[in-house]
Amino acid sequence: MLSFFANPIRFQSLAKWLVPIFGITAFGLIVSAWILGLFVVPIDYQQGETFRIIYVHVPAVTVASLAYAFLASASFVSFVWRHSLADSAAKAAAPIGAALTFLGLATGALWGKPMWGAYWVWDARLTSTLVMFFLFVGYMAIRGAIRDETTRARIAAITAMIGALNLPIIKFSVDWWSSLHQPASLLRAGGPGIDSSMLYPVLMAIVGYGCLFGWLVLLKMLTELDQRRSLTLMRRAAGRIGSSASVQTTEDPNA
Amino acid sequence: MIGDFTDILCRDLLAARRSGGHWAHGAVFFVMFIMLVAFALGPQQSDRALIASALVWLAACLASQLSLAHLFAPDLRDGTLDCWVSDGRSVVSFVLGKCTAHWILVFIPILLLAPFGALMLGAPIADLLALVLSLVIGGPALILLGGLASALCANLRGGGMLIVLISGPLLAPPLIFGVGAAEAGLEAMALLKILGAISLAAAVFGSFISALALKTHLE
Repeated sequence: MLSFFANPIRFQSLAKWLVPIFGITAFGLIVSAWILGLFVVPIDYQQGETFRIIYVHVPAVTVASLAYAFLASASFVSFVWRHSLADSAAKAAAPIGAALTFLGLATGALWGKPMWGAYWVWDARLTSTLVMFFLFVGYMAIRGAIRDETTRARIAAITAMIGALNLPIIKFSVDWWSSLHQPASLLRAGGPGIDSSMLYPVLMAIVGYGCLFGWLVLLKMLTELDQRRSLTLMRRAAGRIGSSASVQTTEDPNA
Repeated sequence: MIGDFTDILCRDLLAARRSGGHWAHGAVFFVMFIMLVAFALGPQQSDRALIASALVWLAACLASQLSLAHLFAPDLRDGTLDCWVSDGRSVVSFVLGKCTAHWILVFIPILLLAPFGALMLGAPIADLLALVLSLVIGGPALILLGGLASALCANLRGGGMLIVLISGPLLAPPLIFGVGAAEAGLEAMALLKILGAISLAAAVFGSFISALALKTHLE
């Protein structure tokens, strides 16, 4: 299965099918979830209109955590089987995951101010989401610092896997820490059971954000493949025209 | 394995003796941190006493990370590690030897200074034993996890900044449980045990992953 799609040509033919499906599903689900959530769903009896930010905030944070799981699994595949496509999937996922995490943190802060009276609380969830944001940033920074392609893939994969090991440990220690340091948390654990008319748009938005993530990752991977191929073609053409030895004509093994 | 470990440990200690006191960087940073913190918090003794153990732990945590950028990078650059690997010697032992040398050179001075720092910040004498014990148990985790970040970033452009970015999230758990154990006192053995578990896990996984990263840099 894995090695079947490790072939870039096969991957490309599948991805060209999936890209429009993901794109249209994402667009349809997100737009309809937002229309339902912003205009149709009745206001919350306690939070008033402000609760409507749930339709932006919850899907962002949920899909951001899934994005980290995706990044870590792609890194694992890239590390163990040295698939360059898995590495390029991880590379594509990192900035999108970071953006979603940032969106989640920002909308959470905006929601926190009217609800808890503070933009930021060192609550277990907030803290571990912030750590996850730094894991994404660290992953991108370490990729940016390595020139050699093979070394970059290996070191970046190790970094992503360490983060995946570290996240549950951080979650556990921060849970312990905030339960010790914080008096009765302002967050209601679980909250009052949410009404289904409010819940369905959230679920739609989560699936929509997930499709958006998949759409963007596939688009970025396809773009990278095309980029590599055009680079190889340019090198080959340059080699044919100029017979001087200054132009490298080595074939890119990934193209 | 053991021979490899002691070889690298002795070499690093000898190099430190001849280096003109570069190893004292961490200890000096620790002392300056405590002094500047006292200035920042103002002269009221009572406020500082409450957070003295947290501040000493923070100072130890930051000071132990200072010279990590030079932990593996020089050996990677000048080919020492290359020779080491082609001799068929264990890279895990290499990592453990380097980290132990770093612990002896940087962390033991901090351990000796920590009680004085805590006293100057106004901690009661009764709390000192728990503080030093938590530092003894948690210190290896700080060095090994920092060393892991250093191994990943060895030989990279902008290495120092990257090390901080990578090691920051890794250092959160030992810091949380270290400060917790120091503040809770000797009755809270459970916290010290968790801290010890973190240190042991860091020794096993940290050294293994560091060795993996160093080998990748050699390829």
